[in-house]
Amino acid sequence: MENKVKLSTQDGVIIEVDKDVACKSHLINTIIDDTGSEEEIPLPNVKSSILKKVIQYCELHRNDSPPEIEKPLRSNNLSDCVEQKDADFIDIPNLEELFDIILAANYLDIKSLLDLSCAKVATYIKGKTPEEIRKTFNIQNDLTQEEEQQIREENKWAEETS
Amino acid sequence: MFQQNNGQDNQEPNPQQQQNNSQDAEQIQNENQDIQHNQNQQQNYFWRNVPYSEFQLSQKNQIKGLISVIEETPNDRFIHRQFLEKTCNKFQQKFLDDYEDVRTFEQLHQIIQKNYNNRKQLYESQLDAIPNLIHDWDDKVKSSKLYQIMKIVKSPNRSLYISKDISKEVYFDEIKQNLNSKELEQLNNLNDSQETLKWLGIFNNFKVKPIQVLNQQMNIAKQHEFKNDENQVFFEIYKIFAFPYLYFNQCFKYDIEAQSVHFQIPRNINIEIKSNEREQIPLLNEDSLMSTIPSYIFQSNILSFLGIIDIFKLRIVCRYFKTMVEKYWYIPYKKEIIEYEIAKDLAHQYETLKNFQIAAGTLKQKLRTCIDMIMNFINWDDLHQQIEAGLNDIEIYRPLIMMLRLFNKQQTICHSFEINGQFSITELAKDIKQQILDYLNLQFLPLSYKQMKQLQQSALSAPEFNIVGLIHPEVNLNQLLTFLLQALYFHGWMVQTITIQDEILKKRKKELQIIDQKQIYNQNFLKLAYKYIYNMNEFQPSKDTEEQIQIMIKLSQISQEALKHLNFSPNRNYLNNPLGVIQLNNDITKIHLDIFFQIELLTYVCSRQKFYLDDLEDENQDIQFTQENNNNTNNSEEPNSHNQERVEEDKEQNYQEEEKSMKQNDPQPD
Repeated sequence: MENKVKLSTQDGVIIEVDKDVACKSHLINTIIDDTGSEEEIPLPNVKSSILKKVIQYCELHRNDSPPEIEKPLRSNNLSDCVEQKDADFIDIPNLEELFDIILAANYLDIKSLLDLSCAKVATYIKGKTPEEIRKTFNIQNDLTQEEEQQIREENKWAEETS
Repeated sequence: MFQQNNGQDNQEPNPQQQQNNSQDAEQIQNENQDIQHNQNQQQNYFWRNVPYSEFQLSQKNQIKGLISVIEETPNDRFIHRQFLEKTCNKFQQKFLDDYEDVRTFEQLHQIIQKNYNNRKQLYESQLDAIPNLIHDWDDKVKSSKLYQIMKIVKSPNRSLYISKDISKEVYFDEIKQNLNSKELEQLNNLNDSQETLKWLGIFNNFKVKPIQVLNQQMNIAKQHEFKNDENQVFFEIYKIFAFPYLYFNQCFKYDIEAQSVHFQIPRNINIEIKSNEREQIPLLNEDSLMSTIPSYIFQSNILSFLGIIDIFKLRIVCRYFKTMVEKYWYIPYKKEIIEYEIAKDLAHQYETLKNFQIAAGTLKQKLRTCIDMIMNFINWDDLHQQIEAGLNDIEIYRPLIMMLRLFNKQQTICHSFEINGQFSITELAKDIKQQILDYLNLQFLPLSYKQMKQLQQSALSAPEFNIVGLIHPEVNLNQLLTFLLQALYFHGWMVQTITIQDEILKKRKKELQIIDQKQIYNQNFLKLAYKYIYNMNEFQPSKDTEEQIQIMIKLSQISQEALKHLNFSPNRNYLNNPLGVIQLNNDITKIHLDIFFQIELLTYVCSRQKFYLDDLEDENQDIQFTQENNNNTNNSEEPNSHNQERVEEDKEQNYQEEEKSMKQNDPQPD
């Protein structure tokens, strides 16, 4: 039991996890340093389904630290930019779940996961048209026609050189 | 015994060698010319766009001087160790220390790559700490605040407060008066900022009477023989008015909360630009998936994975993205800026090395000529026979065994005191002439820098290897060999230096070629990004003349109008009511002038009309009287005493004359 910690999620589920895996999160690591690993650690901002995904990621990197992801991304295909296991892990079709992972990684302070999930979001933007981006993220266009036209004019130069 | 070769045929280098030498010299000369020609062509972006620093210019001149010294020195001086050592040491740049142990090209390439990576890392860490990477804003405006600052200075509804900070004038100590207890109490009850207190003539618990300021200003004007020119001041104001972003190095304060940016122009005049519009931060539609992501994650984590083109394009998606991009586009752009700085550094390094190459090549060529001369005086057949016979002349044996050490053919005898003739060199020194020629043609020496230095210290600096004299056919064989040994050592030194520099240059050139083209794009992109995101237009004086004239005239008119109604009452608050409004296109700018700036303007007017000074003393009394009157009548807002009216009437008359004269003298717009 000494090597395990109990994590209590937003929806009341208690998940038992290896301490070294849980400590990939700076937040959990700090809590354990301060209060020990005997008691349940409440994580009120994380749902159990998301925490399981986060733990899955931490287990993937139990014995290593993933290298920094190159910025800006050189390709829309994340497999070209990160290890295949990470690309497979973050290949989540449900964007809501992806955003939940971003929020959880941010809350739990797991930088490599935050980077990975944000990089995934960036692949949905990179090289896409404004219309495609709006559709992907369900964004309403609140610019006036004149504003949009002006930006299009300004963007011509950037598009020509890209 | 050995016989010296005194034959007439060998007194001068033989024709074949002469031809080789001249070909060699010609080749180096051509290479040098090529290098210089290429430099003149300025093939690199930075050599076209980044001017030389003073350090680089002085370094260039030093190298030029060094080349002259080498070229002007007679060939036969290149056999003297002390001269050679002194000259070669000038090529011992600090960075070569890293290559002391190098003995192979592989090692050399590894160190070059390692050094480049270290330098890049150092640059990245240094540049990370600098907020403004490519601007000359002296860190007064940070990139992270640029969006907010530009929103203020380019606001379509803004106020321009022009004030003169007389607390910085030399006469301030003379005219300041302590506040009495009642005034101090009033001051403590005021919640206004220090700036407001200055409008009221209160400077850090002191008060001043405007009329005294006028007196002092007039005295100064008189001392300067009335050379004040208000047009210059108006032009300074115009520059801040029309192109505030070009003068961020004159910005001394900005307050995002208060929506104001403060600039300082000469003569202790401050300009505050204040936006009268509050920025409304747009939001994403609530049902958007992206709305759950906090803006700080979007700006710092997501945007940073996108290239600048993708970020630029994001502006068209929605108003929220547009604002995010305009506020934080510089974060991902940082990489390009760092790359730009590294490339600039590389270009400068490349140029310095190229210059050193020219000098090192010149020295190497001189040494080679000298070596060829010595070799022509040596009777090689005779020497080879002596070597075969066992070589029993220690004087000849001594330079030969050290040559073998230099060629790394033997490692046994390394110190001068070890040389006793016991170690046989019959086999090792076989065909020594060919060995020397081979050594001269090596691209990479068998000994490392470090080993060569050790050899110099342990043997070649010993007295027996340091002979002086001239090279001529009469010189003994042992002396010729000793001269040859020293020349070979230093020739090798230069070969090593040139080889290392060559490899570094190749690497730098490759790196530069990769990133050079991008810099033109980066710089252009930056310019256009500024233009579109911040509406920063380039300052083109010739194209802005009409607008400049309009603004200048309007400023001048507002100032004249203000002077007509000049009020010396210290309680008049210029913050509330503008003295005029400048309207350009759809933008309006309200102009506020504080009393001390108006006095500054009045001084200019008086300076031009020197006769004013004679009347001033009488007027002063009137003004002072009026001022006292005003103070006694509960600090009324408007001047209404008879005296004040009289002064105003006089002034009006004078200004009408003034205006008339201005209309006659000044150029008017169409």
